[in-house]
Amino acid sequence: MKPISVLFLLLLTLDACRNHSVEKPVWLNEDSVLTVPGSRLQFKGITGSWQACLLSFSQPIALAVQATETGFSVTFNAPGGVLEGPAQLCIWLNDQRFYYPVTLRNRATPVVIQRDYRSPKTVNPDSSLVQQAIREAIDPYRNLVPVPGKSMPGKSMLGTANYFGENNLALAPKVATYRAIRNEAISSYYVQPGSCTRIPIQSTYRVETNSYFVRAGPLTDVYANTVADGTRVYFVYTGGPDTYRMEATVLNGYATALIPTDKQLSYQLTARIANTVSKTINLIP
Amino acid sequence: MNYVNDTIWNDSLGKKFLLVAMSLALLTHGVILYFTLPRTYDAFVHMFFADHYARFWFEPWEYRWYTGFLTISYPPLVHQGIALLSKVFPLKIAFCVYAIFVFEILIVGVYRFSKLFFDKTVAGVAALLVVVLSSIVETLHVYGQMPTLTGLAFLLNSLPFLYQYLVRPKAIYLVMALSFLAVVVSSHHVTAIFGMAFFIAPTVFMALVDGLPQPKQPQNTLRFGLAIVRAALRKYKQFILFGGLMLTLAVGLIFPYWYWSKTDPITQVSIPHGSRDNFFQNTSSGLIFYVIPLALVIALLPAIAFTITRQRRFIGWAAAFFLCLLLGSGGTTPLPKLMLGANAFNILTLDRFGFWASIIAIPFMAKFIHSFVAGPVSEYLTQRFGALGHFTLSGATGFSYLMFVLFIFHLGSFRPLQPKEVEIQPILNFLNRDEHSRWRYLTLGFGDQMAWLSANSLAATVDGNYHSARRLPELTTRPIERLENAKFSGDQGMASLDDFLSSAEKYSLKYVFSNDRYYDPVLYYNGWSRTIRLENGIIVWEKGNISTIRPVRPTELAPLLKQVWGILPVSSFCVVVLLTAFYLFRYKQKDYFETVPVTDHHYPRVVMLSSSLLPLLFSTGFMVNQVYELLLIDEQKDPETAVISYYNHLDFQRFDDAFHFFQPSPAFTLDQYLLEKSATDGGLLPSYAKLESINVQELRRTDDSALVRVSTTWRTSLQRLNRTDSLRLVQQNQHWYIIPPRITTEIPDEQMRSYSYTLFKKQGKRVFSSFPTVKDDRIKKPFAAFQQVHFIRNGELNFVTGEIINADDIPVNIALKVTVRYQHNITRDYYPSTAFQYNLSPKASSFFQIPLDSTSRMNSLKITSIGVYGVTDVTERGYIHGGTIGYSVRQLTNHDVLIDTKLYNELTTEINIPGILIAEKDAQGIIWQSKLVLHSTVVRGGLHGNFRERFHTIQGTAQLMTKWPIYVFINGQKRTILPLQKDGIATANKGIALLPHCFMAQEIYLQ
Repeated sequence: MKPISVLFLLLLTLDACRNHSVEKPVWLNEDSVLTVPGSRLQFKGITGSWQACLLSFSQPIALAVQATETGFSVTFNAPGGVLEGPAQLCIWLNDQRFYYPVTLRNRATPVVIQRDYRSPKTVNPDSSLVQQAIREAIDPYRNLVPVPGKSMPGKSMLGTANYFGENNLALAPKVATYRAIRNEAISSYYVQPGSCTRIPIQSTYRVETNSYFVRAGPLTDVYANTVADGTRVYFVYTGGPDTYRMEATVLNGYATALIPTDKQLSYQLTARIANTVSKTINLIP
Repeated sequence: MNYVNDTIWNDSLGKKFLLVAMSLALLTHGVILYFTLPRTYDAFVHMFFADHYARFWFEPWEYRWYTGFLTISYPPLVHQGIALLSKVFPLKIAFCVYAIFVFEILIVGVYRFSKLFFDKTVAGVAALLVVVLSSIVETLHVYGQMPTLTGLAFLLNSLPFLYQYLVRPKAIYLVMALSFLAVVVSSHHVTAIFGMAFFIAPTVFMALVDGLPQPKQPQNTLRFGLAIVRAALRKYKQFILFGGLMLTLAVGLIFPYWYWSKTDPITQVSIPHGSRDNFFQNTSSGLIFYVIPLALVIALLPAIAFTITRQRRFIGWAAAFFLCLLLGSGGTTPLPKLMLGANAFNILTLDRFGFWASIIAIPFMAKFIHSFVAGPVSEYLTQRFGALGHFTLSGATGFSYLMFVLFIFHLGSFRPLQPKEVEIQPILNFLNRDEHSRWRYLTLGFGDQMAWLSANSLAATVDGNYHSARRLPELTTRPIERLENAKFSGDQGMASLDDFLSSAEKYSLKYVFSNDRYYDPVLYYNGWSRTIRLENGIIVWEKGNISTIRPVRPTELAPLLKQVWGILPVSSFCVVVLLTAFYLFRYKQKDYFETVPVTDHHYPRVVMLSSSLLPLLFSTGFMVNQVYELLLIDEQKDPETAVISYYNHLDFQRFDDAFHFFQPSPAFTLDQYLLEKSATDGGLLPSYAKLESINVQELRRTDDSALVRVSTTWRTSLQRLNRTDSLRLVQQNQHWYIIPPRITTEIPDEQMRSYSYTLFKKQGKRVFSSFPTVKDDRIKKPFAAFQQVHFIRNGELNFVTGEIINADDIPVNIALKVTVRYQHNITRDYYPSTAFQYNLSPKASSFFQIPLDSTSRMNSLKITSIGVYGVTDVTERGYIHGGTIGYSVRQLTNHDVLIDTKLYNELTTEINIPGILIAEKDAQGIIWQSKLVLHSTVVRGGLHGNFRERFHTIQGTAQLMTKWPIYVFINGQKRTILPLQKDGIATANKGIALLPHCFMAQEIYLQ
């Protein structure tokens, strides 16, 4: 008798451990498009501690579940929106999970953020002044918003709407820092000065310091832009047996050098920037 | 000595001594260990390994050193033990806890080991001796060699069981012996291997002798030998069983280690080690590796030698002791090299043999000490010198020896073996910031603390501190210990460091943490830019255009071997703990009183006297010598000594000490000296050089004056410098003083200087995102262009020369690389070294020369094409290269010119190392070679510096190689070389063109 009782108890225990299957809840107000926030999804099913979440293609989103008389309801109450697109609504009770495919949509938002990407961001007239601009617009949740204008050829994967705009811009050769989008410093692009094309040079002898003051400038590129600050200028001068090489940098279009002379020597001097060389001048006290 | 009716607890004084020894060890070593730890040689290395196991227990691939290595190259038990403790304690504390634990086991081991020789009281004295034995103190507090101590501790514990097993064959003894030996194997392979010869073999021999029937032991040596052989043959089954099981354990427990040794043998060029020196020639090595560890052994040698050769059962120990003593003497005699063979001699660190000799000697030293304090020697000395004399001798000996041990505790302070402790937290913060750990780093001047840094970071370094595991040819082909202390490895060390610094891209080496400005010149001239000084004073150097770490394929290891490595060694320790507990409860009480050797306390008079006095004389003499060297040495006894001492103080920058060598005068004060020094000092030689050799020659000498010529050779990280000075000395009050040299300085007209710099600053991240590639914050790759590129062959030397210009409007850092393509798709990369300005201002250009392989090697591989690659990035540092240079060139011979250079520093900052980059050009403007030349002293703002260089030209002997096409690329895009332009200035100066290439004061770099 005793072994049978034990066996019976064991069977009871095993039965208690068995996982009873739960019937899939019925989505009463089923819709293929789930608009957030504020949607309330009604389900009919057995009562229990149901839980739910949205598995969007970028992240899981927790949902609130409330028991109702016939089942439960699921709500998306978090403020803001989501990255739109296909998602799976997942609800589960204990270890059993049920999935409902949906498409996520945000409620309309009046806020649109313009994007304007420039390539190259830095343009130098030594090479090319042509710049490519790609424009797009997004909402605060990083969803693309159609932009006005001509759509880019071959970019129809997102349907007929124009999500991207593209232009090839011929920039003016005027050195400056520009903004592709007003009030957005991050969208800045830059037209730099090109190489110096001519080096005017002049010198004066300063008795009080017994030195030659040499000035090269104004130094401009082919479009008359002042060459960049910090550009290296070499003043090469010879006097007696020695050859001297003094380095200076351009500031506001000019480079200056103060060449000391101990023995009242005269020098022949040229200034050089990259491959551009000035005329030779004589430094005479 | 019959205590059979007693119990384990109160049977002898020995046990009480043992407990006192263990308590003393805890109180002394336990307290001081944490503070001596940072100055030890090896502690941090073992902590690094422990950290590895704490992070990756079953993964032996360690990527943080040497671009990756296998940790199966070292038995793991010690490291795994510390790793387990580190789960409870911080890593450093875990190491200390482990060390104390092992030290206690070692004391027990010595106690049990000594009981094989003498009675328990002597064994107790031996246990006490362990606490103060200089070799053990040094191994723990100076070397931090935990595996050695662990292996020894368990080895000594195993020997009594092995002895018991051979005398009375019981399975429990065999099991216990093997279990302890298993821990030895898992802890330290070298102890396991040599322990067989120096500890196990003598134990076996002693057991065989003791196994002979006592009354019938043959007196004749030959018959005795035969009797031993017969006894051994009778026990052959025991030997086979023990040997077979031991071999199985030795192979099986650390099988991955043997597998690694076989499949990836060490090809490292021998690294010099002080223990292999001739100790008479290099006395400091002799002091550290022989005299200090063996101090007491040497002092008590008469007593040890007498006792160890007194009984036949000690023959094996005598052989092992004297052999270890001989091998430990390193290169002092040729015998160790002959016995070990050149290969083993050059690989092993021989100080460990001296260490083992000291361990073998412990029971014999303990026996004499016991006798000296309370035995026949004491009685003899009391009879001869009275009780007071004996008491005084005992006290003085004990005091002087303890002073000696205290000296060893603080050896790292008296003779610094390591740099000062570096606070690593700022470095860790730097590595964690902005994903800096995506590149490799290198430390310079950290000593063994580099391992501590590695243990605390997941970032990788190209260096490492375990020579046996490294496989990078730049390291294994040169006798260099570590890159971080390359300057101590002479020319070979610096050459190896130079390879890594110039070929940094090859190893994704982007950051250098420098704790030693000695390396500043080699860093700067290899294209490294000094960036920031961390809170701990460490300077961070950075190289531009370095790729992030590329994945390295780990050496394949079967999963089973990884499991074996992670489980078996630790299991051996668990087994020994369980078995010891089992043995204590089941057998200990029963077996305890069975084997108590009788101790004969007799010593001849001469041995008693010599061994009683020698320790006092030795310890006192040693301490007196140390005090004399520190305090009493007369550094001004003659002109030569005075000059050498003066330069020695200058070399170590002890300027106040150096000042005292000048003739005392009210007109020349310390203030005046430091002022003159500040006006004339600085530059490559005074600031970045170490004195290598000095030769003082007396030119004239009278009773109270002398004129000497001082020829010095200085070693810098870039080159050697020779200098000759003349000094006048006078004698006053029995001391020789240097007459201060008269200083003539250039006086500038201006009192204040101004200079306009245009400095650039990157804005850094404007979008607050840790995402590394925010498009809007990426700065474009600046433009650069090759003005000329040529392949030049000069005999066996080959190099690519040329000139490159920064064509952009912002400063640029340029990384150059030559890729030579050979037949059969073989390619080799070459990088510029010092003959290049890596950072250029807008529109500035630089010559370059990139050394290639030798002609014979290149010809054998057969070149197909050459590619020269330039990669650019914006920089905000290092593009100001110095002042105005004026030069003239004089032809000396057909192939030698003399370049006289005048450097005018018009800047507001010092030019720390004035330098010029020389290019040899022909009439067409082709660059044939380029070379960096440095001047040894600083040029201050507004002042001039002149220097002269003999320059060897190669036109006429070298060839311009045009038969292979040279392609050039900038930022991955193929470009054309700009048209060649003639250089009229070079032509007018015998083909020589110069660029200033100076190392500037830090304020410019830190803008």
